[in-house]
Amino acid sequence: MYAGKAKELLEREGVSIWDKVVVSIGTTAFEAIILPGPVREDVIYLKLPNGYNLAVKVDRIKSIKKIATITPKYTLPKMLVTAREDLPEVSIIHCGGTIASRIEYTTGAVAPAFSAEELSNAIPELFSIIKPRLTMLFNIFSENMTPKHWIEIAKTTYRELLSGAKSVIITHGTDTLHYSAAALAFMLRNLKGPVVLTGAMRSSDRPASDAPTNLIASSIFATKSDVGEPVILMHGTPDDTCFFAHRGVRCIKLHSTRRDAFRSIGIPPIARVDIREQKVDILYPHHKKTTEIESELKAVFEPKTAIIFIYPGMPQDIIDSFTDRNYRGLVLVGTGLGHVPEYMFESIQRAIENGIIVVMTTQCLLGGVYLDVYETGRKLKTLGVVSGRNMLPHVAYIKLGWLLAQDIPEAEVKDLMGKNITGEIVYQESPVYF
Amino acid sequence: MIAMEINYKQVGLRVGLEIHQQLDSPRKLFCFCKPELIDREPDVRIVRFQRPTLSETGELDPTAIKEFKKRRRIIYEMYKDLCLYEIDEKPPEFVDDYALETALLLARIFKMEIPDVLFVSRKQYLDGSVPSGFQRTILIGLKGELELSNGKKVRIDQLCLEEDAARKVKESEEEVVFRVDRLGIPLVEITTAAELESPDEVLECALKIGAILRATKRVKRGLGTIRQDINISIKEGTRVEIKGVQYPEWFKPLIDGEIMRQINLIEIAKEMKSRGISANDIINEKSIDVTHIFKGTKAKFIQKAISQGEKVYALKLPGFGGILGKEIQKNRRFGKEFAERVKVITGLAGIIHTDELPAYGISEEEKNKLFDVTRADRERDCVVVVVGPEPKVLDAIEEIKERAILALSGPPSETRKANPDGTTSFERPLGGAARLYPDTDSPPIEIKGELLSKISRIEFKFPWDIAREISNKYKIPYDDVHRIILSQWADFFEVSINKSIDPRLVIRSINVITSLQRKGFEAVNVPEDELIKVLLAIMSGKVAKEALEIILEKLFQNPSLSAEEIIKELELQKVSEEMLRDFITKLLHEKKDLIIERREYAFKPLMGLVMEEFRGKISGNIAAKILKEELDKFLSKLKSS
Repeated sequence: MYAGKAKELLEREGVSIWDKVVVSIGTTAFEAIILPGPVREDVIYLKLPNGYNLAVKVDRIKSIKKIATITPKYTLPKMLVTAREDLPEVSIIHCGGTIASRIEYTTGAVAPAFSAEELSNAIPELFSIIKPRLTMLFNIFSENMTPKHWIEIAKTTYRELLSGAKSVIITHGTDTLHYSAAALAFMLRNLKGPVVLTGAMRSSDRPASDAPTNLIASSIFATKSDVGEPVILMHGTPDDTCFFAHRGVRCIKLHSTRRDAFRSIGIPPIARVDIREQKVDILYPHHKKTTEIESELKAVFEPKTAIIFIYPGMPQDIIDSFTDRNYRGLVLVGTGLGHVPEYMFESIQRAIENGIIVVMTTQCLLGGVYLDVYETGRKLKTLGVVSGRNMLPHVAYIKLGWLLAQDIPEAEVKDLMGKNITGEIVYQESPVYF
Repeated sequence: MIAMEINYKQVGLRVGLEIHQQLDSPRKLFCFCKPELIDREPDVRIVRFQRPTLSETGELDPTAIKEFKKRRRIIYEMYKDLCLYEIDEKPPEFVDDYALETALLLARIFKMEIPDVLFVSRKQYLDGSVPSGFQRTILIGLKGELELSNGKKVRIDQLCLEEDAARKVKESEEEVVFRVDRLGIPLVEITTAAELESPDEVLECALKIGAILRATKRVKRGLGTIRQDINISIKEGTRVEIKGVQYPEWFKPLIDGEIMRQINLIEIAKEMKSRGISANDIINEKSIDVTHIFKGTKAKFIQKAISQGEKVYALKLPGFGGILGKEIQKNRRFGKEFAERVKVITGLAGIIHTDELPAYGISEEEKNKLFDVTRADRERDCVVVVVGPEPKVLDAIEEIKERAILALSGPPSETRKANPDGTTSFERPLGGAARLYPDTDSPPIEIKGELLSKISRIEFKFPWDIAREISNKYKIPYDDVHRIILSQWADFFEVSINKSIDPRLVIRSINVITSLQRKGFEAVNVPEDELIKVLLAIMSGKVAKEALEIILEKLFQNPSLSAEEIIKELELQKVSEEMLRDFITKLLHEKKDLIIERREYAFKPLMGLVMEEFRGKISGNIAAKILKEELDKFLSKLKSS
């Protein structure tokens, strides 16, 4: 924690972190606790008795005398409410982010809290809607998720539904929540109960966190809807009263900070949840329904799949490097109707000749790929580029990786990329959803 | 019961001041919005809920739970002109430079120690006043001092730079409405040690800090831009924080009132001890549903409540006979402390206790039944009655028990709100240090040498030094100038002097204005520019000095008019001596009979007639001089004829 002069000072004065001390600087002295902090040689981090933090330069400190040692401790609170046997059993799978977190006040660090006790303290209302069954799958930032994690989530969800959970709620960091939702939609089909992915845009150590209400709304949806496909359930507006359940394969995080960051693209949200009335209003009746047909689990992914964003001036060897590394599938996020600069054609042709399936999507997000409209598109089509139609780029990537991992002939993979498997392509684009 | 004179030494009075002053920065502290209030209907309203978070020890803060118990909706009034920060939809931007420099300048002025690295902290508030649930605050300076006129050096414990909270617009049982325009306006919070030992010291300290703030010329002016809180304790008492002291004149009545309140509460605690009542006696009491007693009651509010399916509950407070009826503040009985606490925490209005019965339509018979069902002793005990929906009533009963238990050990530590009548009302229990923790969204702020040397080059003169200079330069008594410099008129005074207006005239005009304000014009806000125009008109000789009072009074009666309009309306353009002489000669002819009858003694009534015509248009001395001359001439003419 401390190095150089700072470390020497602490050693010389016989004090260490968490000690309660009296610090003398200038003509004054004050009481404080020595804090750990990012390694520095020139300052000592301190916390005043009233809670304020500060740091002072080692050179300014005349003396630093110990009064007492503080041991920061965390005692688990008593459970406020107990689980009710008569409520539907809902499995909550924790993948990261924090449903209930506790803050270590001495350092300010946020640690996850995921025991029934902690959950009951943080969100007692939950226990009047569901009987939670908790699984701590992993605890990572969602930017660190990989296809391996998606496979784990799909397998665990399948197991939970098979072993009697009425529905499953997956708590997840929001950065890549829509990737996991899409992966789950392909890997696990014919759902017996709703599968809800939720997260929080404000961490749960904050009084105004959206985590509790998102989880309450998810519980209502999990127990009261007949939606049989994975949904992303988050705030629908900045209000704490309106929640939307989005189709997992038609949703993206469109805002980096707002509570209502997630938006359905090209279709309306599947449902709205009202947490005061505890009801679910279906907004998109074409959703898949829960079914008693046996669930189908195909939790596989071809790691040699990649996604490439097309931009003016990009070097063509970007594509070559994937070809050289024996990739099997590439999703291009093209401009407009699905275009790339003409000078890239040679590399694309080489990739296809090497057996790589190249799928075109559009960075416009709305609309779709139309390779027959312009010369550039027609040439790409002639080269063998497959149209991803109006699939969202990240969804096309997941679908391609998932198809490639299965024992399916190349022609059929190309064919399936243009066909709807789980609602990822919108055949009838309505003018109202833009 | 309230002693007329309090011996502050004897009661061991200790007061600390907390002064919040908004800064006149170009933007808000953590975003780029204009730091201004908006006076139109909001563009959008946003509904939120807040909930307590677990503390470091895994416990929930009791203050937070009390707020959460209310389960109120929080509504934020939002404008298109504001950004996502005001509704907690984005992280903070870097701290505004101007505000930071101003806070550092103040730390320099108060000779404080400035940390080398500053940290943004979060201070939790669950009343909804901050949409994120916490106010962002930065400790800027530690352990400074300020000298009072009696030579006492008061320690300035700390200086913080923080964002202002949203302003409360409306409040009801179900919801509380805040307008977020004020949120994020930078303010400095200056906290003194609890070392002030009399209301005079408190007043002087507050005025001095206020004058220093204004002297930086970097703070906002006007209503609501400065707010003062005080914390008060006495020997055997507890630290009680009083929020929202709006005017300096409030200090003494509030402090005296709180001293009496604490003394009376200490006395109640002693009385309860002598009656042998323990916390367990109260805890063991069970509340009883007494709705049936009031089935045929004449008390209208109970009738109405019962007809709506609400309940009436009674709780015996053992040994509390006569206690709730005791007056502990001016016109406020102890029972009111129970009622306010219940109102604040559960939203239920009005609890009733047997000390005040029969009243409100409740009969002697019903009162006796209350004693009977609760098995209470008519002399020794008190029965408290709560009316409302059952769950709220039960919450209220718990609060009543809690307050009763607190009564056994004197005044509880709490935050109270200042009322204009010098009394205070319960706001919330006092929050602890656990409310503060580091803001993980903001980077530490390194205070570099260049910044500090920039701060040291900012020109600043103490207000009293300025007063000394003015006093010497214009030969005006120091005390007169000093008084103005400490008052809210300091800026007006300086600006006027810089426009070459005679400081004596400025002081006179300030005296006129303050006496007008005392006469009921306190809320009138006449722009300083208009006041200065009046003074300039007098200085240029366009308007007579004597007109000052009339013009100012007219200006305060019609604050929408400009100085020019008022002067014109009053026809106050200065008249020439010739015009006056003409008028007087005509007048003397008209009043010939009077002059013949009263000779020299006619001067007084004539002068009255002259001034009736010319008041404010010409100096009284000149009018008297001319009248005297003309009257003498007239009399000698009379003699000779």
